[in-house]
Amino acid sequence: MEGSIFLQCIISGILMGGVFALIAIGLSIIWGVMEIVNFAHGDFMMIAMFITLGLFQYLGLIPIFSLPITAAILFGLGVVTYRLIIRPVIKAPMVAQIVVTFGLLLFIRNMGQFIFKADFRTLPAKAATLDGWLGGSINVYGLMIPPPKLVAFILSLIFIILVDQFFKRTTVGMALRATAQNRKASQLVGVDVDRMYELSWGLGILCVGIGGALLSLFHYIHPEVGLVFTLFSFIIVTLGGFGSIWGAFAGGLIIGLAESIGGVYIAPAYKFAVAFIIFIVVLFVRPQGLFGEG
Amino acid sequence: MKPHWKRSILYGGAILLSLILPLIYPRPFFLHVLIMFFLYSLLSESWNIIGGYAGQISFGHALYFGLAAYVSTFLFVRFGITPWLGLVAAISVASAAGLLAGIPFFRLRGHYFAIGTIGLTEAIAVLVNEWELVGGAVGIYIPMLEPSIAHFQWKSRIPYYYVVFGFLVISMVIVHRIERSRLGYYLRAIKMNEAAAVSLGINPLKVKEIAMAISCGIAALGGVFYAQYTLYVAPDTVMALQISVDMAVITLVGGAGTLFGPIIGAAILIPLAEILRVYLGKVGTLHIAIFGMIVMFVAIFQPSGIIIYFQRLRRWKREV
Amino acid sequence: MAFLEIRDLTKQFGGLVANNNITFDVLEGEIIGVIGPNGAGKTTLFNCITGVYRPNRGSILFKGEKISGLRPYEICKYGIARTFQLIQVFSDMTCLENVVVGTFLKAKHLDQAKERALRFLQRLNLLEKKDILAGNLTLADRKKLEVARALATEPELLLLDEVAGGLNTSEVLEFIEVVRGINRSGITIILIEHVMEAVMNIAGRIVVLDGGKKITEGSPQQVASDPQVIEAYLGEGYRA
Repeated sequence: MEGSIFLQCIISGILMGGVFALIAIGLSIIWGVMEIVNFAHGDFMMIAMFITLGLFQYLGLIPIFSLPITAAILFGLGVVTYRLIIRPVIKAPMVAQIVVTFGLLLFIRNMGQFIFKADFRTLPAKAATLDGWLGGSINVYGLMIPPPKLVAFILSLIFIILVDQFFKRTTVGMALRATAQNRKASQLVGVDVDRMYELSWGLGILCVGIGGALLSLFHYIHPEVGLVFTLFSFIIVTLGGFGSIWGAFAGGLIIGLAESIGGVYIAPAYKFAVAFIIFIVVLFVRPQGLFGEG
Repeated sequence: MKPHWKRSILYGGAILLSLILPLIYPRPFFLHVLIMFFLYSLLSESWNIIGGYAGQISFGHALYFGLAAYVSTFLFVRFGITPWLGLVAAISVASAAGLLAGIPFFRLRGHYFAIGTIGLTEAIAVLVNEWELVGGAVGIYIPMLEPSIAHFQWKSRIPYYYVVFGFLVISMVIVHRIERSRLGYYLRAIKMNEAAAVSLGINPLKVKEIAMAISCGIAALGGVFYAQYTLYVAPDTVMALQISVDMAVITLVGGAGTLFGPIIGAAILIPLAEILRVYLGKVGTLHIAIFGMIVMFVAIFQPSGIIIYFQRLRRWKREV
Repeated sequence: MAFLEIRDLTKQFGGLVANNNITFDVLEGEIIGVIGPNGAGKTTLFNCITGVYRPNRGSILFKGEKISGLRPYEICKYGIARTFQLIQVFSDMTCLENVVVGTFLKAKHLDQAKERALRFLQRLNLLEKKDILAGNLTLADRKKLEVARALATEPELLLLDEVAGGLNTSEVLEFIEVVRGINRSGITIILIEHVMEAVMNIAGRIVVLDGGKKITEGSPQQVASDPQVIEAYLGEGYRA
């Protein structure tokens, strides 16, 4: 039954890919508006996962309900990070900007390891299946679709659409896009660039937070999980091209598929290697990404 | 030329002190901290050539350190070849790997280069992890043998101390010579303004490749030493992201692009790390979290590194 | 065979044709001026000659050899050096160090490079400022530094891009003398200029560009009275 294993991989890959895309969009927002790459990106996601876990373990909140809380906390973290750490280095050379978010990575990741120890945790089944609402597997033409992944995908997609509409339809969203394209010109028309930067951090980390909370529905939780997702997010944004939310979505799907297929057909250990190879190929063949503007 | 005799006395004194220190105070932990200090100074000088002088921030430099460690260890354990010869092979392999990686990667800038180097090292570590010939995830253990120079193995820490100190002195001489050579000037020119540099006949890729080969060669010294000191190589010890990060962070905190920056950085961070590791016991990696805070602090308040304060001191003394 | 031959040089950026079938010769030892309104394609021309751009069509031959399409560092080794319209000195290096980067093209080690660099600094009257950081210099001195640095590569052909811009009258006079001196030492010079007092006084011949095309060439007097040239400038509302 080779075919159905392959199809199963595809389904799994696409579902995961949607969540990866949301996480990557967080990186893309900050990078797009401020040209700063947040190396600690995945570590914020890790924080969101632990918050989701904690809210379930201590308050019994299942992820659907704890999502707004997680989202609010991470938005706040994004703003605080911007004010304390990023704003001072905006005018500094790029080296300082790279180094500061790298220092943040080291700090969050290792504090996480100190506090939570190096155990692999998972969201208990009760939470992952949303209190038993989604028991079992959904069966579509003989293919198994695990509900946690499906829910995560659907919610991610909804949120991505919201983000996309936010940028296209709202005044604030347009102000953000303007700042991303031309900082000086935006200032001239009255955009408060500092506020925009702050907002981009809040929004970016918010996306990462929601993505992380949804990811925890089917992915293990561990203090070191951040780095791989930072790398994945970087690859996804590069694949999808700058400034393109739907490009990032496509990139996310590609990476999700690579992870899924690579994991089954090559070896689990090589998952990252596959994504990395795709990244290198795109970087040299089509640096503006598959969907980006040149 | 102004006589730099004051500085020569300072250097001579420091070297003399370093040479007699283990004879005065041979406490093992103290020597261990100094050995780590010398080793990381060496590794950071290696990183400094590419990250400091050339301005290409790499977070994957441990790859060359790790490859070297594997090469000499494999040759020693499998074929009985003394690590001193293995060192030659290790330097060759590490430099070749660096040259090869440079061809595609030096076309990348800034963030892309940083991410690319992380990815490359992780990818290769994964491959080594699956390669049974070199022990896979378990790695290779170097058996305890008769202490001798040929075996690059001793009972006391003191010979290791002198070896790594010697390696460090060699690497610093190399970096000093680079600073005062065409390579050094060309690296600085490329870093500051590549468009101007190419108009002056400078081939950026060629220059960076030469620098990379030298950088990897120095990292290889560290790799072989580390393998012999700890008697163990494995992907997650010698190709660990942590080592790459340490090399970068130490140099950046101390002052990238200067001869003594890595030394200053190591002098601050290595004793800190070792002491924290002892006193915070098995609580894993809190010292790295503290590293992270220091890094953020330095990046925000003094991105040029701590060495700035020494340079200001010297300028102030000169004016007074 | 002329020293530098430019044949049907065409360079396009998307829909914009910055250089359109430009053809002219440069003879060894002469000083040739390139003028034209803003956007005429002068700096693009320089960028094509020095290898920053690869022409879409046409060719550039230097001493009979094709150099169009080569990389800038290769072209420098052939003996062509340049300065930039927006000054590109190495701001965090001293004047001496800036020029040393240039002399290292031919010099073998640092002492030799420094010795030669000092001589180039002296020719441009920058010797007293050798230990000052380039970023701390006045505009005029930075321009001189860039010329010294380019000369340090011991070129046979020197391309000067709007060096006189932003200089006051006495600085312009000094600049004219400097350029003449460089030419006397055997270096062929092409200069892009907006400052008419400078170019009309130094150049033996002038090439005029407008809208990417060469509209005429000739002696300064011929060009100054050419109705096409006058229209190109006055029609743009241009003032020197």
